[in-house]
Amino acid sequence: MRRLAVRISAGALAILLLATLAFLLAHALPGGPAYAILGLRATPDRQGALDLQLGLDVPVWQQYQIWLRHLLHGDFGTSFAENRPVADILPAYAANSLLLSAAGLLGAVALALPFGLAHGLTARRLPGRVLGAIELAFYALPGFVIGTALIAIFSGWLDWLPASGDADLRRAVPSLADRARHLLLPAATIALFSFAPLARYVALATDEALASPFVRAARARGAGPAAVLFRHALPHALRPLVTMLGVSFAGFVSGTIAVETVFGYPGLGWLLWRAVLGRDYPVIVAIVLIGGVVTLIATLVADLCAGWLDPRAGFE
Amino acid sequence: MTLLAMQGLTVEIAGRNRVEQLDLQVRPGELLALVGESGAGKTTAALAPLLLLAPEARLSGRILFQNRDIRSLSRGERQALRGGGIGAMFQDALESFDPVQRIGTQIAGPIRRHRRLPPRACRREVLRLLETMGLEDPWRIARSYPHEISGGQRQRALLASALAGGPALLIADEPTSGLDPATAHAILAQLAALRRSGLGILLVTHDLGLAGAHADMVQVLYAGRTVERREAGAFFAAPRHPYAQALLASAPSIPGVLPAPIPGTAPDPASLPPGCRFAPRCAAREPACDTAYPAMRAGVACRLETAPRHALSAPARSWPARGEVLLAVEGVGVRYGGRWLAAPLRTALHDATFVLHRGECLGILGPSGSGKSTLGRAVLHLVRHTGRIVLEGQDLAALRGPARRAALRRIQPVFQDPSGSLNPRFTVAEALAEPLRLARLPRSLWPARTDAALARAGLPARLLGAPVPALSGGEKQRVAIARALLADPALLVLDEPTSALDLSSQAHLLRTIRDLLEAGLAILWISHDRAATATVAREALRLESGRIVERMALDRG
Ligand SMILES: Nc1ncnc2c1ncn2[C@@H]1O[C@H](COP(=O)(O)OP(=O)(O)OP(=O)(O)O)[C@@H](O)[C@H]1O
Ligand code: SF4
Ligand SMILES: [Mg+2]
Repeated sequence: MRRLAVRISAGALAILLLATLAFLLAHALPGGPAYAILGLRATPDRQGALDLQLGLDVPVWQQYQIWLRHLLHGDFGTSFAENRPVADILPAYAANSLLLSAAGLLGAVALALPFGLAHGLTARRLPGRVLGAIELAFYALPGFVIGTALIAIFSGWLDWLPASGDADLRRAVPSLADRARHLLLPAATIALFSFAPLARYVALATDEALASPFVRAARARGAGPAAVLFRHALPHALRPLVTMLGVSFAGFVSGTIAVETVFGYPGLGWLLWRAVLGRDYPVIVAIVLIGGVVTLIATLVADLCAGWLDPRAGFE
Repeated sequence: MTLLAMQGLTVEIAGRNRVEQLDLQVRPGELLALVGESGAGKTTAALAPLLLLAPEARLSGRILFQNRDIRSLSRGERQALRGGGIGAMFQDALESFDPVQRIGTQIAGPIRRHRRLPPRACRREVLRLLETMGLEDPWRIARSYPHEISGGQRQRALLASALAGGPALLIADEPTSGLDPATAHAILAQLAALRRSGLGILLVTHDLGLAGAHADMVQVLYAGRTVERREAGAFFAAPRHPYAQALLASAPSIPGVLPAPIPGTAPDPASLPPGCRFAPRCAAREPACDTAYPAMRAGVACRLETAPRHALSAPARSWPARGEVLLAVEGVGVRYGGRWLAAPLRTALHDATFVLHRGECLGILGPSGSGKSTLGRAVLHLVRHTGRIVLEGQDLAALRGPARRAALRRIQPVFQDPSGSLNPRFTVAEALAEPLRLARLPRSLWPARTDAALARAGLPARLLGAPVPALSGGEKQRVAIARALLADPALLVLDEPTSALDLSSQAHLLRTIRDLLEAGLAILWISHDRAATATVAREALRLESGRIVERMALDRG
């Protein structure tokens, strides 16, 4: 319990640092919000007036103080671009992102488990080597390459699935099936670029479990191949899988951002991209903050689950 | 009818014959004890009937179970045989249970599979089996995970799992090595009841006392071949093969007197002697012994009609002088459990108080589950405990940070299972480098230190390049000791260091321990074997149900 408290406060501190960093980086971007909003109409006078209106006329450290004070009161500020409170804009995008990452994560696990088990079962033979090579290939491929390839095949060539957006704009109320069709390609992309390291860990754990004396002992008691796989190998593979999910979550979040921009999927990643282009500081910082909090929670939950899956945890 | 028969069985692994021309028989109700030094091929022979040897192993000869060649069995029949026809338990009781499943679940497996009992009857049967193994609290044991019960409890649970499928033949590889003699004999007495209803037993053991008391037949293996196979009573009254004689002589018997190990080492399977395999170590060797392998006559494979009786025993050695007090343990208690509010707290050690001097070896004796290992873990600070532990005048609880780590490095553990504590991917040199790296010692000093530690642990320097898996059990145990010595300890805590060793390796190890004592080291010697303890320790604490009941002298009675 004390360890948990220490970890949570350390995590909170890390997130605050992260948000500060995001704040400073956003302010260091060339050009400024006023310039981004005004575009060609920008003149020094107009920019000055807008800066005054957005609260950008004071020195950066004062802006930081104001921002921090508001943040501690739960106020993320107002979007420059849309002139609405950030807290009103984010939820819709966040819901989209949540849906996408949940689908992507589920897909990654659904791929990693059978893939890793098959790899672990045949680790020292040809099939295992082939599976290992495939994992390596997917590990090396960047998300946007996979995404672009999927778009080229499934929407360009076969024309089965839409390439972008989250729903068909021609309809007033999008149907569930339509949402799902739009979700499929980006979720598949996320699953494909993140399953490889997970599968590798499952394979390692499976191989190790199969070579262990307790599996030999189980076979001596008459356990068949299925019992060995599902009762002894699988439970040992689940724990590293869960730990890996937690550890790789940060990469997962940044990958989701890339995928959302490739697919023009209106989630937080896409919004972040737009906010960076528009120098919309409050939105940028808010999204970075959310990403940090989610990652922290994910690692904590993964650790707790891993401990729960292993009765030895907590015992020296 | 014979239950199990091996006829001319040869097992080849990686181009070497691990077992050669083995003939062996177990009849219903009979107990055959298979004895010999580690590496003699006992475990290979015991695994063969289950067809569970490594995939690269090649068998020739025949193995009959209930008069059927087991290699002609179909897949389904083989699976029914494993755990059903033949129940087996292997040497590594520590590793033979899946660490993430409860003991009860794992014992229930064979009952469900082979006897098809419904769940409730299955649970009752699990508890009954655990109870016949002399476990007092079967319900708690069944609900525990393997790491939550003591070594001896785990071993008995493993034996229960081997019997769970209701087998006709039990193959047990060192089933009692972690148990005190009283418990071990009690378990064999339990098995005797099953033998009366026809259970045949193939028992692999280093414990000649146990074999002498319970076996019908004894078969001695040396370097993969049978050297003597006779009726147990006659064998123990007068072993005839020189190797068997030497083996019996290496058992500790007189307090304070070190038993004599068999001179030399068992031959490397890669370069076996052309004639009798024991010839290089045999005191009665003749030139003719080197030409051809002696034929088996009247159950003995030796050229001599009557070998001269070996009279081996080391000269008595005086005890080293005791130094000042090194360790004071005052009112130490340990409680287990309390995780996730589920397991209730259990007190495994109450109020332990004792002192230990430099140059002293103190035995910790007591029945299985009495808290011996727990006491060792408390001294090593591996479990949370109450009370005070004072080492070299410093209260360890008062220290923090680097000072605490430095003080704790002065206490080094050596555990029962040498293979578990050494990384199998390492060579001996790499395994020994670990503590030096931890101590941040400059690399140039490593070779001198490792050589010295090897010598103190009684190992030849040529072993440095050897991969860990190539070592025998006794050698691994001494590598573990050498590694502990490299941390420059004042105190070694040895938990059952000899229970995985054959008698000859044990005799070597006991000698090494006496050398270390003479050099001023202090040792806590946790064991269930009073005879072996008495050769290295003058006094021992006797534990019972977590309490120290007496500090007794071992050289009397
Ligand atoms: N992690 C644990 N959680 C709960 N109970 C434990 C745990 N470890 C040991 N115990 C229990 O504490 C008691 C003492 O265990 P300990 O390992 O000290 O026995 P031991 O004297 O070394 O026995 P053995 O000779 O069989 O090794 C036993 O009843 C054991 O079941
Ligand atoms: S055959 Fe010769 S060398 Fe072998 S045990 Fe007999 S006497 Fe010794
Ligand atoms: Mg113990």
